[in-house]
Amino acid sequence: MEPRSWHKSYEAGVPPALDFEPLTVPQFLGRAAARHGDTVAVVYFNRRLTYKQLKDHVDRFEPRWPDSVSRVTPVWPSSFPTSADGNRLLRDAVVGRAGRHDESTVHAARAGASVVGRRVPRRGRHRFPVRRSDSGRSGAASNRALHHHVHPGLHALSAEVLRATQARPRRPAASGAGSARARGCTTS
Amino acid sequence: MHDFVKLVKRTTPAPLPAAPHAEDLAVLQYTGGTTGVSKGAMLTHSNLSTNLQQSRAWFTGLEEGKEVFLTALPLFHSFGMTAAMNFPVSIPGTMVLIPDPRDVKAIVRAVATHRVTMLPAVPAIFNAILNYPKIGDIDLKSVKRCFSGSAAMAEDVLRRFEELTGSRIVEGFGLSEASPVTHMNPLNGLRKPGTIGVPIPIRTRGR
Repeated sequence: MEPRSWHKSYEAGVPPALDFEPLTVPQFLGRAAARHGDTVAVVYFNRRLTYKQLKDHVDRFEPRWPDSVSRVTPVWPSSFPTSADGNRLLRDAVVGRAGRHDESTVHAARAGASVVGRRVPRRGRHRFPVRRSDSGRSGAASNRALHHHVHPGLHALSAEVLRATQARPRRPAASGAGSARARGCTTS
Repeated sequence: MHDFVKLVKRTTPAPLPAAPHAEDLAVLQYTGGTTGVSKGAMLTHSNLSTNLQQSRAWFTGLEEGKEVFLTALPLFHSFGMTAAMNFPVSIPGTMVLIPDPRDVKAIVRAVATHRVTMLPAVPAIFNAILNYPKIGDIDLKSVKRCFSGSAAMAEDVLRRFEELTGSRIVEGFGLSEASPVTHMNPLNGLRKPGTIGVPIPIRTRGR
C-alpha cells in the first residue's frame, strides 16, 4: 500500500496494513476456549471462570432466546448488582430511533424492560404503550407484566432468567397465587 | 437475588444454531456523542473483529493466555466493550472485573492482587490511582501496558504513573461508530502526550 507520513511513527513490527482474519466475536470466544480452555477468563472478587466454563455458560444461555427476541440487555453480566444501573441506562438510551425496534419496543425499554421484543404479538398490542401509571407503581411488577405480554410463550427457565436480570425492589417477593411473581410468568 | 450461574446450569449447552456472518449486525452501540439524542450505531461482527485485530497488531509483545486485564470500564460503552472485554477474549487474557470504576480502592487492590498487566482506563482513573493514599507502598509493577482514551491526559499524570508502575501508557482516540479505536500513540517510539496519536493500521483483505 501507499506509504503514509504517519507510518514512520509506527514502532518496529507494526504493519501499516493487516490481513483481516475473518473471525466473528463468538468465534474469538470459541478459539479462546479451544486453545486456552483452562486459562482464567473472568475474575470477580473471589469467583473465577475459565474460558471453557465461560463458553459453556454462553452456550447454555444463548439459544434459549426465541428468534423474535432481540436482546437489549445491559452488557454487564446480569447476576452482578449493577443490572439496575444498566436498566436505567437503557431507559435513558432507547428514546430515539432505535434501529429496527418498533415503537412499542421503545416504550417497553422506557418502562424498564431489560429484554424487549422486536415483533410484538398481536394479542399483546393493546397493552402498549405502557402507561406511566403502570410503570410508576413498581418497576419489577411492570417489567414482569411487560415480559408476560411481549413473550407469553417463553418457557419457565427463560422467564426466570428474565426476572433475574431485572431491577427488583429489595424486599422479598410475596408468595402465593396473588403475588406479582406468580401472576407474571405462569399463565399464558 | 438469583444466581445467574445456577439458572443457566439447568440447561444443556447448545452452541448457536447458526453462526453469525462477519457482515451481520453484532451490536447496536448507543452513543450520545456530544449533541442530541442517543443513537444506535450499527456495528457488525466484522467491524468489531477488525478493531480487535488492529489493536492486537498495535500492542506488540502480548502473550497468549498470560495477560491480565483490568476490566473496570463500563462494558455498555464502546471503549469498555472493546478494550476491556472483546480485546482480552481475542488474545485471550484474564479479565479482572471491577463493577464500579470509581472504586479506586478496589482497582488498586485488584491490580496488586491479580498482577494486572494491561490496564485500559480513562485519565481520571490513572489520576485517582496516583492520588490513592500510600500508593508508593503498593506494588503495581506488574502493569506493563496502559491504554487511555476519552480525554487528553495531563503530561504530569502520564509521567508519574509510568514512573510508579514502570508501564507505558498509550493514548488513543475512537468513536463508537468506528467500533471504536481509530488512532493511537505508538507503544514504543515517538509519542506525543495529550494527543490522539496516529491512524492505526488499515485492513487490506477479507470482507
